[in-house]
Amino acid sequence: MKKIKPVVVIGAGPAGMGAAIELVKADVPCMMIDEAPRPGGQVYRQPPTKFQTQEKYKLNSEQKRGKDLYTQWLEVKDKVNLLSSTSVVGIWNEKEVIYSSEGISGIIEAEQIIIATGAYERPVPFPGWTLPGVMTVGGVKSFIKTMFVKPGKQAVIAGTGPLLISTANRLHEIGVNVMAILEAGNPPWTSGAFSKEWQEVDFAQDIANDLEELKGNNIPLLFNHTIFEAHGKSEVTSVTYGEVDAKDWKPLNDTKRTINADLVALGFGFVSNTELSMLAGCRHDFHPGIGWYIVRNEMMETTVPGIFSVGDGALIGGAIIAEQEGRIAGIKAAQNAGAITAGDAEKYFEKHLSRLHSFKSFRISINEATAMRKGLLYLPKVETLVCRCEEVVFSDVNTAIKEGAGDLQSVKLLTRLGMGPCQGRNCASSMGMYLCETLKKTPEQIGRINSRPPVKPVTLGALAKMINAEEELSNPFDAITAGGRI
Amino acid sequence: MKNADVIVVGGGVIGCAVAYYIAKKGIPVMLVDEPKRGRATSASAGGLWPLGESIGLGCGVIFHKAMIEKGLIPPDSHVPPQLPKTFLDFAIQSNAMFPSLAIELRETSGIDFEYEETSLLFLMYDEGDVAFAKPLYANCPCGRSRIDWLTPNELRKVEPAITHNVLGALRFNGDNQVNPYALSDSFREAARKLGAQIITHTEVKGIKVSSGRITGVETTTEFIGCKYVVNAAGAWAAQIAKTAGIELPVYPVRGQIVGTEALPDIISACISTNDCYLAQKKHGEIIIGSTTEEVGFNVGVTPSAIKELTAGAIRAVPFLEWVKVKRVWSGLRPGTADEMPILGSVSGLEGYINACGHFRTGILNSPLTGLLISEIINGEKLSIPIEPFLLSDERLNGSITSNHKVSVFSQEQQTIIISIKGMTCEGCVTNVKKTLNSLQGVTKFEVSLGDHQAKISYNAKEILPDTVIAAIDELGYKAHSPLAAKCIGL
Ligand SMILES: Cc1cc2nc3c(=O)[nH]c(=O)nc-3n(C[C@H](O)[C@H](O)[C@H](O)COP(=O)(O)OP(=O)(O)OC[C@H]3O[C@@H](n4cnc5c(N)ncnc54)[C@H](O)[C@@H]3O)c2cc1C
Ligand SMILES: Cc1cc2nc3c(=O)[nH]c(=O)nc-3n(C[C@H](O)[C@H](O)[C@H](O)COP(=O)(O)OP(=O)(O)OC[C@H]3O[C@@H](n4cnc5c(N)ncnc54)[C@H](O)[C@@H]3O)c2cc1C
Repeated sequence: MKKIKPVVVIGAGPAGMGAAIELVKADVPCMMIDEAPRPGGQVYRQPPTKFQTQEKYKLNSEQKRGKDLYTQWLEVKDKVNLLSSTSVVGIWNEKEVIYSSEGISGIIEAEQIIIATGAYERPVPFPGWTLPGVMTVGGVKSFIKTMFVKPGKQAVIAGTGPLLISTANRLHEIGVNVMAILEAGNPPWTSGAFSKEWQEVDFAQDIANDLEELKGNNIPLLFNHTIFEAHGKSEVTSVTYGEVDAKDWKPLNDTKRTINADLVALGFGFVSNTELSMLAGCRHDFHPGIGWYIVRNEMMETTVPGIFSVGDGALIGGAIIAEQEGRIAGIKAAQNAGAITAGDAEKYFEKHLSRLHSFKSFRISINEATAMRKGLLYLPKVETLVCRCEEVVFSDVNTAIKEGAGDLQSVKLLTRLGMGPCQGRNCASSMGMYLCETLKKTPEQIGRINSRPPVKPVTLGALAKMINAEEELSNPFDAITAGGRI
Repeated sequence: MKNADVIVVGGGVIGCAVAYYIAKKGIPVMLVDEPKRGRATSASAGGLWPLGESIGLGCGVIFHKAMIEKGLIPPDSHVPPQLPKTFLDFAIQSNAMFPSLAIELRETSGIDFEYEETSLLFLMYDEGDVAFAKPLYANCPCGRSRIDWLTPNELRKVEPAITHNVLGALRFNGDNQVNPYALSDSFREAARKLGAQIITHTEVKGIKVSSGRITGVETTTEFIGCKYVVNAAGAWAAQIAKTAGIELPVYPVRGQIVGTEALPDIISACISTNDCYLAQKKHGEIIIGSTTEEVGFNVGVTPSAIKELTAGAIRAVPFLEWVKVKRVWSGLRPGTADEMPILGSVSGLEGYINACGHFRTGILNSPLTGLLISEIINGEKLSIPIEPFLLSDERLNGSITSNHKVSVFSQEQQTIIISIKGMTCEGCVTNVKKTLNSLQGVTKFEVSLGDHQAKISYNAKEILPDTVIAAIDELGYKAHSPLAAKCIGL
């Protein structure tokens, strides 16, 4: 009997939920895997039930907007085979998804795969960035959402983009004294002047509200400023900051000042989680304003047939875009599976495609506005850690360059940069850019840190108990001849 | 135009060692390397196991067990086979160079390659392992002084983390370890300090020859003139040799490895079992290897291999169950059918020198290889006879392979299973049968459409499995047997 293979959706954020809803509507078997205990992704994740009853918990505007999606999700969720608290650690042989959860692991043979793994916040190394008390804005927000304790008394917020402002307001609300927001750029939206396209986007309204609120809260917003250094022995106690030049964000050292702070919230934009699509062999290209991105067609299909990539994991765009992309991929996957006709698919696509279209220029500008600029590479000192996992300092990278390392991979071999469990998430984007600048090479020449399984922590015990690996062994030659594509 | 006396193609541990020893003699040398995915040195475990590897421990015993389980070799064959005495002598002599090399390279390059004097322990889980170990212990090719038989109690004292479910262990003293990347880095840096030119990220496209002499190499960017070319291109050596008209029997053999997160000191010896081997490195991570697979230049990893390696590691060191895997990866060994490196000049092409085919032992054998090549170029007396390692006609056409095979399989009559991809109907089966029937030396066969395979009995003196495979391939199917290409060569 031929086993029916499911469409596997990796990630239960808005993108993954959108995909799952469309798959269930079309009666296509759907399996969904998310490492978080509850679905919802970065924005719509519901807090643990015990918090939901508390008065303090109120839906923020993103969650209100996500309500429709959530309601639809609740209608279909019983038909989705959801593995929560389960990480996907690799994709092998094109469509074999390897997952791990609480001491076991297993292989799912997928018919098609929809990768919806979201993004992480771009780390920018500077002296003191690894001190306790230095957090990302996302970290601060989820801290506030779930912990209901103050993450600090006196905060400095640095980075770029609208998230800095909403974070400042949330901190202010819970009684944290926000000393300043250091916005490295000077983007037009911060003055409340939105371009026409932006006004079509609901968040423009959010930003306007947030700015209003900020004024009321009396929090200074300094443009073309950033953090230069966080000081402290065992945790951060003060911060040095100053102006940066408007073009490259190069720190202007004669403008520096130091203030006391016990909390630093950083938000330098987002980087897509592309480890899995890299492992699956999907092609990635480089775009100057955006960075590395997954090559996809209009239906979200990557260069590997039957593997889709959607949402922030493909290209940063926010929750609404993520949902549309997820739905499009879900519809296309259903069509590929023969569950709906091409004609029907065409009909279903339309709404989401046109919605996506209206967001197009917004998406490009948000990516360009929050892109890392090369002046920030002047922040780390020789002894600043650039790779936290393997404790590689900035001067190690410079030594490797002197020794002839011409790309990230050879810097990795010489210094162990990026060899740790984070797979280069903390260092690859900044050090890649540093190599480009120093060696005057293109990002393609500098390359990336190849992702290697497992992309998420997994124990030997879990892998040793892998479910379903024997099947492959039943044919004596497969173990020898079957090669994974990495 | 650039120029050098000697150009070394390939900057793995072998190329770097060669460049170092040549530079040490004051000869102008240039190393050209293009980092290819799967290059062996950066994937290696870094074990210096002259005895262990010579008698088939490390990867050999794992591969052997896998072959038995898959029914590809008879369960009663007394293997893994031992490599010839000439190989062991070479390996022991190379191994003996390490203690002073560690000091020498640290001084010249400033890099410490983390030489650690440990030992190799072969764990005996069951009576079969004991039966395998007994003759090794009794007739160890280098005498009793290097080998100990440990009882379970003795083992527990020296390695408390190892499982208590063992019948004992064989200990090979003098089988040590290094950090393989640091070793090749230190060779390269020392060579540079001694005047070698190091050109990285540059591919050698071809060797230029004029009237039977090397004239230089063509890289992606330019022509570089030279008198000697040393081919140290690892698994890619055959491609380089071909540009000079030389057939080289070197092919990629994949090995998969699992690396753990950094741990406090857990094991001090390197451990070899018939599921895997383990070595804890200076940074604290434990390296668990490895498979022996012929999959061309594919550098992927497979779930089944990872499952087996992790399960094997936990069986040996139960504590590892709760330890995190940091990474799994694979590398391409420069394989040869007889597992011996291919070294030295070839007849008919002046200035061309092989330094390749180091298979499982390139880290171990790098210092002596480098020294030997430098002596050849400098016209000195050689530190060890090179004859067994030259590219001879026998090695080229595989008759060495078949000689060795006799020691692996005591009889001439052999049976082998060959997987055949692409057979879709009974007509295909008939085609394959017809061809098999026409082959001299094939005595019996069954071809199965459902299993995509053929079971073939043949007379080992008359025909090689490779020939059978080639004949099936010629029909347009894809025939494969890991045994044919590799195991018979042991
Ligand atoms: C830290 C942070 C804070 C944000 N704050 C805001 C905000 O305040 N307002 C706003 O409008 N937008 C915010 N965004 C943006 C918004 O969350 C995203 O645009 C939106 O969630 C994208 O949806 P998605 O489905 O693509 O990804 P996500 O919502 O990020 O969902 C991805 C899911 O994939 C799962 N996952 C990832 N890798 C694996 C794996 N290997 N195995 C199993 N599961 C995996 C994750 O657990 C996650 O649930 C924030 C984003 C981040 C990262
Ligand atoms: C999993 C595994 C474990 C191992 N464990 C051990 C061990 O414990 N002990 C031991 O002694 N050995 C071990 N080995 C074997 C050892 O790694 C190899 O024998 C050794 O590294 C071979 O070195 P090399 O320099 O010949 O090849 P490589 O390290 O592969 O170097 C060849 C170099 O040539 C370059 N190159 C190729 N073509 C060109 C070209 N056209 N132009 C320029 N450059 C080119 C390649 O990119 C590469 O950098 C192991 C191997 C593997 C895969």
